[in-house]
Amino acid sequence: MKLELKRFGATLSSRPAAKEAWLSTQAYILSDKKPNEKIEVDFNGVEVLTPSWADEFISSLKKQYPNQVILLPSNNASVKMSLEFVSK
Amino acid sequence: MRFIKSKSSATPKEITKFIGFGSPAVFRQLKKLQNKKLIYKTGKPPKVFYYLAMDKNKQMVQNVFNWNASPAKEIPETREYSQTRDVFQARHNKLAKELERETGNTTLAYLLSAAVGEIGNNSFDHNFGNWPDIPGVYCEINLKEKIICLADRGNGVFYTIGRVRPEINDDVGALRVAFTEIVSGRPKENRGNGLKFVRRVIGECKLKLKFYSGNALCAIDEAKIEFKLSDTKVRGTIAIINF
Repeated sequence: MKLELKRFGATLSSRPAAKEAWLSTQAYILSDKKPNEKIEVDFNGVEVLTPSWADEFISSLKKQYPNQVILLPSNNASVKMSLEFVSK
Repeated sequence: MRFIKSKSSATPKEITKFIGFGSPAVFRQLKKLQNKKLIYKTGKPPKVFYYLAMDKNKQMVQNVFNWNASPAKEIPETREYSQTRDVFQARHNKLAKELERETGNTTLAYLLSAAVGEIGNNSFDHNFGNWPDIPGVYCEINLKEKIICLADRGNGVFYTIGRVRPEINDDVGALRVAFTEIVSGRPKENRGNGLKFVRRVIGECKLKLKFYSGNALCAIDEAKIEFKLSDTKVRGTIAIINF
């Protein structure tokens, strides 16, 4: 399944906003996920991503679904740098 | 004007005494200089001060320091001030597009916007429910002058870092840790990347940052980073980015 982060806005910056997005994703999007189905995280349409938002959301997603999360490539500089920081 | 410049600021009484003319003539001249925007005055009688007009860049820096140091406990009503995170967020959401329009550089716009988001949100993250007096963030942006100033009147970096790294004993040490080591000011949470990220953005985009907290200053000029005592002691934090 594809998880489009632009649903949460073009600027993804604060931890509380990421927490809210994570709760909403669990309730309304991931509830339809089939067991062992991969989750493709799509950054298209996201303009600004901070390490705080990424850490709160992506880290929670990876923790909940180990080995099932695929981060689709993005050319956005803030997405690339923030993901690099979170993966450290 | 040379007299005002030599003192940084001067009262009407000091100016009148220095010039040696009568008050009406001096006030007429002061009014003319104000109309020409060469000087400006602050305060109300009997406490009035005249200053030399500065360029906008310096004026913004002065504004942010004034806000940070102001003894007033009232909630300010300026558009630069965001009392709560949602207000800051709403303003921050527009920044990337505005930067993109002004600079024509998408990479700079998105990275700088992310850095500003990290700094502003840090203020709320580390002071939420624990503001010493005025809650919130002051953020003034001038795209033409290419300067962004942020400030809060929170507890500052030393207070936050000192709770998780008790061996750190001053503001300079705390800033050094905050900008160079992955350590969260909020224990039991996986945090602590914010200011390292800011540093990387400043370096990669070849920008300048001055970050004050307590009596410490972290100055980043592209890849060069320096930690030192500052001339002024600030409450919470002040960040000045030139892009």
